[in-house]
Formats: sequence, structure tokens, C-alpha cells
Amino acid sequence: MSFSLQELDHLLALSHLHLEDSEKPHYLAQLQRILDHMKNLSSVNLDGLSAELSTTQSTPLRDDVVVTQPDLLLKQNAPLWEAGCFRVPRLLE
Amino acid sequence: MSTSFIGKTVKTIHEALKNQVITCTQLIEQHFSHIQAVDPQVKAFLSLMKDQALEQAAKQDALFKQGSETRPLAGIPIAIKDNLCIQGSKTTCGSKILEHFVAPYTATVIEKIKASGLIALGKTNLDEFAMGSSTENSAFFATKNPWNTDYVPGGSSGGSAAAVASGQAVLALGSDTGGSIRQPAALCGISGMKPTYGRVSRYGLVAFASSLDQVGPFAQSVEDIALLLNAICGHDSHDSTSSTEAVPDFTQALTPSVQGLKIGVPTQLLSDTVDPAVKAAFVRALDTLKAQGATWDTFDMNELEACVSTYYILAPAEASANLSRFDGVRYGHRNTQAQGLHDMMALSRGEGFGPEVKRRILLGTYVLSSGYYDAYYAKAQQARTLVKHHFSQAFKQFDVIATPTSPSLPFKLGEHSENPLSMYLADIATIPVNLAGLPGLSIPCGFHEGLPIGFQLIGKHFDEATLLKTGHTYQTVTDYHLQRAPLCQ
Repeated sequence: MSFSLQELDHLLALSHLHLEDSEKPHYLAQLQRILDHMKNLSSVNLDGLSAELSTTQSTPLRDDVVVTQPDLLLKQNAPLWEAGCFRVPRLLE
Repeated sequence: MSTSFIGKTVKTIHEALKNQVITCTQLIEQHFSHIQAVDPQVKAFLSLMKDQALEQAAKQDALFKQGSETRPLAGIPIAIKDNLCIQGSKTTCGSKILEHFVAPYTATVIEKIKASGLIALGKTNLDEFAMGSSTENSAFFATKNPWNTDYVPGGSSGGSAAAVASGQAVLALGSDTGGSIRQPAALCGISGMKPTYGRVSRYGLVAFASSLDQVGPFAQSVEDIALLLNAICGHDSHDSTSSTEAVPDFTQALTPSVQGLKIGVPTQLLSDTVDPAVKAAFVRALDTLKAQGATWDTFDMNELEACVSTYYILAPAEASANLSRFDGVRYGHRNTQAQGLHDMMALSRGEGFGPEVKRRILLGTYVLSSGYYDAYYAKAQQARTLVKHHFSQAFKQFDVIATPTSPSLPFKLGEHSENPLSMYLADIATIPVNLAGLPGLSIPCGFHEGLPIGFQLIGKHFDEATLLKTGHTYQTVTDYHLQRAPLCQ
């Protein structure tokens, strides 16, 4: 299957990722090569096999008790912090 | 002038500390002097924690002086892969997007090593977000192989492996999603283990592919691996995937005997796809174990090649979801020129992530997108079930499975950088172990033109003990693990 530039642009939009136009042919060629290789999965007989991830153990649950959180360093790590909030570019005009 | 303890094992150093041949402060100072001397060539560390380490060493010295310190790992210097959080310290994951990120909490595995008296020296380099097999994908610099600095140390935990191999740390922690502990251990001539999925808490390990990630130890010997494993394993209520399985004392497994042990070898990993020098060293290792009373035989694992495809569908799928949190809003790099929120996110991520991470996010988004989910993701999950089934079948016949850790010798820096697929294919022997959630141990088994070769032992779920016993037996009759890289002198 051929992987098109339009498809790459669609994936970039879905994944909120920016690539320069000049970089796109390079990524396109590499992704195409990787996806071509993945076709070898078609040669494996997978009939009747579960697509659910099975685990060998149950999931241990802890008690519903409120625990004290450490200082989450929100202000220190925030790219832009104002009045106790993360500031982001305007969404609505 | 105190005797040098660079490149020594835990047991030797512990005896010296206990008998006050050296103080813990002197030991830590020796290691920082060695780091200063060799790390400009190896480039294993991203950041150092000298003040904290010396402060902890002084406390340890008081305990040794009182004669009240009995913990086998007390005062031993350890290096930490920089995708494990330590409260108040930078955790970069080798990425520009987290270059200035300060962890607000400490990973459980770090709490555990502190409780064992281990002293963290610093954070080590890695392929960005642990995605890669050479440590060239770090956004900051490439780490070099201490045996020959023209070559890669493997990856993604290349900084941790190189730190131990060059004597900059006695022990190290890494993480392994598809071979990221075992492959660099093999390429750097040291021992490294990926424990069973769930053995070690992932709380505080920055997630790459949550169903595959596992934290594990690096050391010069299997004996030291067992000691560090004792310190880090066990259930953690902060990680619901961490196991409640009882943790044995792994040092009890260190009896040199493989009498009657049945070893299985996938036929496909004795084929021409394996470098002749690697194959020769691997067969020699099998015959060495045979001479000690084990038997080995081959079995078919036809889906091995498809494992690479399976992994490179599932791991990027999980990564694309896990890495969606890095959006420039709450932490990490932000583009300040963008006009709107969506542009800000896309530009921040475009600038913050490196090429390999972008490739995997795109691949993951592709295989999870409507129209391709069934053809890729669902099929890969089925293939994962098949791999698990084949291992279960193989373990009805064999006690352990052995493979070369990597089918190829260490490669030169830049050799595969334009061909990611060729790098992915080199993970053929390690990936199936993560897909099945099994434990795997890599130990050195030879050299070719001065570069190390390793082989891998794979065990049943939660049977790390048999791997340690087998590896220890091998190391009692061979001396590959005793050889030190030129930069470890």
C-alpha cells in the first residue's frame, strides 16, 4: 500500500505535530519502508487468536483512601503561569 | 592515597567499606574523579548529583564506623537512566521537550535503591524517550562505547551501560521496552536484566509503551545483578501492573550448577541472519553450559521475524498515546510564536521531539487510525498472543531459552542513522521477550576485534532465579565478565 503526502498531513493533524514541508518527503519514504516491512504479518496464521492483551495476573487494587500529593511543581514546570493558572494562547476571538 | 576501587564488583567494595579499607566518601570521590577523567570521551551522563552523593556518603561513613551497617549495597555508587524521576531533579528523557523539566515526585524504584543505601551519582543518557538502539537519538549528544569510542554503546539505556562498562558507576538502572537493557549490556560487555513484566514498579518511569516497559539492573557480574534485583523488586500500590508475586532472595540462586538444565535455542537465531562471530561465540557459550551438565537443543519459532513488525506496531501505538501529554501547556517546551492553541501544540511538539520520536508517533497514530486499526493494531495484538503461546509451548520442553542478545556486532556511530528499519531489525532476539512479558538476562560471552558479544537467557514468568543460576554458573567457568574496557582502567 502506498502512503501518500495527504495521508501524512492527516496524521500530522491527528497527532498535533508540525513538520516542515522540506522534511516530509524524507519521513514519507521512511514510513513507507517500515509499513512495507510490516506486511510480513500477513504471512502469519492468526486465525482464532485473541486480539485482547492477556495478562498472567489480576490487577491488584488499593483501598479508596485519599493520599496527600507532593508539591507538583506546577508553577516551576509551567511554560507560562499566571494567577494560579496555565496560560495558553487565546482559543476564541 | 586510597586504593582504587574503579571497575570492582559490589562484593569487593562492600568488604572494603565494611573493613574500612576505604571510606564511602573516598569511594564516591574516586568515582567522580573517574567520571571527570573519562566521561568527556564516553558521554554517559546527562547530569551529576555530586553534592547529594557526598552528603549521603558521609552518613554512610558514620554507619560503617559504628559497625551497624550490614546492607550489602550500602554506599555502592549507582547511575540512573534519565527517564526515572527523582524529586527536585531534572528528568529529561533525552529530549528537548523535557530539557528543563523538574520531577515533582520520586520513582518507587529510586525510593527502593535509597532504602538499600545505594548512592546515585547522576542521570544517564538515553535515546529520546527510550526509543532507539544506539543512544544516538538523544537530543543532547551520542554516548560512545567504552571499548572503542568509534562505536555505539547500544540503546536505549546506552548511558547506563557505558557508565558501568567504563567504571564510572558500579551499578546502573535502565529500562527495557524491546531490549533497551539487554542489547546495550551485550554491546558494552556487561550483564543486564529485564525482569518479568510487573516485577519492578513502573511508578515514576516516564512511559514509552506501558504494556512493555520494565525497569532493570546493569552490573559487571550476575552476582551483582542478583543483589540489585533484591533491592528493586516487589509490589507497589502506585502501579497497578506491578505484581504481588512473592519476591525470593535472588542471591540464593547463585549456586554454580546447571546439571540437568534443558536449554532451547530458536533455530532462526542460529541461521545466517546472525553475524558469524556472534554465532560462534553463542555456540561456544552453549557448549560451555553443556560441559557443566546442561543440554541444549533447537526448536522452531517461525514467527520471530514477524515479532519485529508486531512490536513496531504496538510500541508506537502506545507511545503515540503516552506522548500526547507533551503539548506545551503544563510542562515542557512551548513555542512562543504560535497564534492559536492548536498551532502552539503542533509547533511545540514539532520543535521538542526528535526525528525518531516523531516517526514513532506518526506510525502509532497511523496504526490506531480508523481504516487501519484492524489491519495493523488488531493483527499485531493477535500476533502477540501467538508469541506468548509459542513461548508457553517451548517452556513445556525447556527450562530456559537462549539466543544471541543481538544478531550483530556493535556498529559505528552513524552507521544506521539514515535507515531506521535496519536498526529495528537488529532487535529480533530481544523484542519477543517483552511481547511475552518474560524475564531476560544478557551476559558477555566473547569478543571480536576488541568489541564485546553477549548472549541472552530467557526464563518463565517470575523465574529470574533460574536465569541468575545459569548465568552465574557460566561466569564461574568463564572470564569474559572479568575483562574491563580500556576506559575502565
